[in-house]
Amino acid sequence: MDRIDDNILVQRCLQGDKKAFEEIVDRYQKTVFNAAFRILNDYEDAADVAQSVFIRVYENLEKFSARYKFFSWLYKITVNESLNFLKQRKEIGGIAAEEVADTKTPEDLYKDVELSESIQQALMQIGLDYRLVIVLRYFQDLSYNEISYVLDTPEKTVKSRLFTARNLLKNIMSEEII
Amino acid sequence: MIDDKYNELIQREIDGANSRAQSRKLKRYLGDNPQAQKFYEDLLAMSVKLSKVQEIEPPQNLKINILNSIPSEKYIKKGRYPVFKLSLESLLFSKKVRYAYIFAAGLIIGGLGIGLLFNSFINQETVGVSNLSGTMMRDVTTGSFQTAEKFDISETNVSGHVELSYSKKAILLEITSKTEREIEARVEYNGNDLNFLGFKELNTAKNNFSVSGNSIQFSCIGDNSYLIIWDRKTSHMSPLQLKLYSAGLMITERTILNEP
Repeated sequence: MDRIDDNILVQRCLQGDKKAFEEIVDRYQKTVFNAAFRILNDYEDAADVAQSVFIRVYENLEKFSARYKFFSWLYKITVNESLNFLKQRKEIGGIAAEEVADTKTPEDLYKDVELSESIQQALMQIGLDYRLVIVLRYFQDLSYNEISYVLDTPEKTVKSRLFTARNLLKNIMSEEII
Repeated sequence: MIDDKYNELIQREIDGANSRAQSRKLKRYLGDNPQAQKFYEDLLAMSVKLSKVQEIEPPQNLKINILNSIPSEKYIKKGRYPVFKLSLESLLFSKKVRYAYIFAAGLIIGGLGIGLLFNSFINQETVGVSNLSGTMMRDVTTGSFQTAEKFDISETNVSGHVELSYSKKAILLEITSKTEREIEARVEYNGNDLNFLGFKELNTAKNNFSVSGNSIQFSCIGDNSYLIIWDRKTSHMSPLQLKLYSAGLMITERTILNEP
């Protein structure tokens, strides 16, 4: 079956077609959840953020401009929601994201992914700005330009951060993974 | 020491952003510079590892939670929106307040509490949803529901009542339960005939609700009432399977027909 274009689904949503929004959720819930998880490093928090992302998406569909790719707009909201969540977590005295790396990760989700765990641990050791570009580049497969849009950051800065992030990760991971 | 210009070319090569000419230029440089070659190979190896990271499955109930959380009346359907569906969603899903109205209306009409509210369905041959909505504002009429099956549960640690109602468009499964310890309920259905629409409980409590394939699971403890709603995809009547577990052991299993 042909995949319906995201923008058409958005139009259908705006016309009150809930099935269209359900299709959007089906299409992107895993991606949004994974992006949030890589940023937050907490399964439950990632689920909460993913839920709030889709609620915000739904509430703001009228503001979406078709001149952008829908998924870029979605990632932008995902990143913002994740950052807001991190900010709140710190404000209420919760565990800082960088500290979470030492705590458990859901074992049932990581049965066959020791590598994933190691990479996640390494990701949590680099700064948030660097983590974001790695997540968007490697886990969401976005281009420099798309990352620039999602992060509201000049492309040149995106490249610089990505290069630095990669070097940092390489140094962290080289002993145990590479 | 790697020249900044070539460092950037290495990074761009990893990202597949170099032109052919740039790639050739980099290749020549790497051939003459073992340190840069090693750096490039390490970065490439790490990138390959990153790209192999498996995606994590989100919680099974994430989609349901999302769909139950969106403001359902924000965008109004223009045109061919099925009348029944519109009314059922506004009736049952849009806001908890409305659902409370349903029960409040049932309580007022029956005067017997939520358990008897469900029994009020039983005592009528045909139960129109309109009968439940006297305090609600609805501008469309839904199809009427009929009771297909009803029975009491009386097992160790759990007692209650189950009732299945149906119309041409939907199936409602109502379960009232009283448990002393946590009971897990599992309802299996035929996905070819039914499309799960929603789950509601009277008293909000930890319910571990999840949907997996064509199976709905939730846990019950204390006094509570649950409502599960499906759209009917076909006119075919396929049975539901209700199973109750206590401490991992099945305490009862019951096949419920969709229609008498």
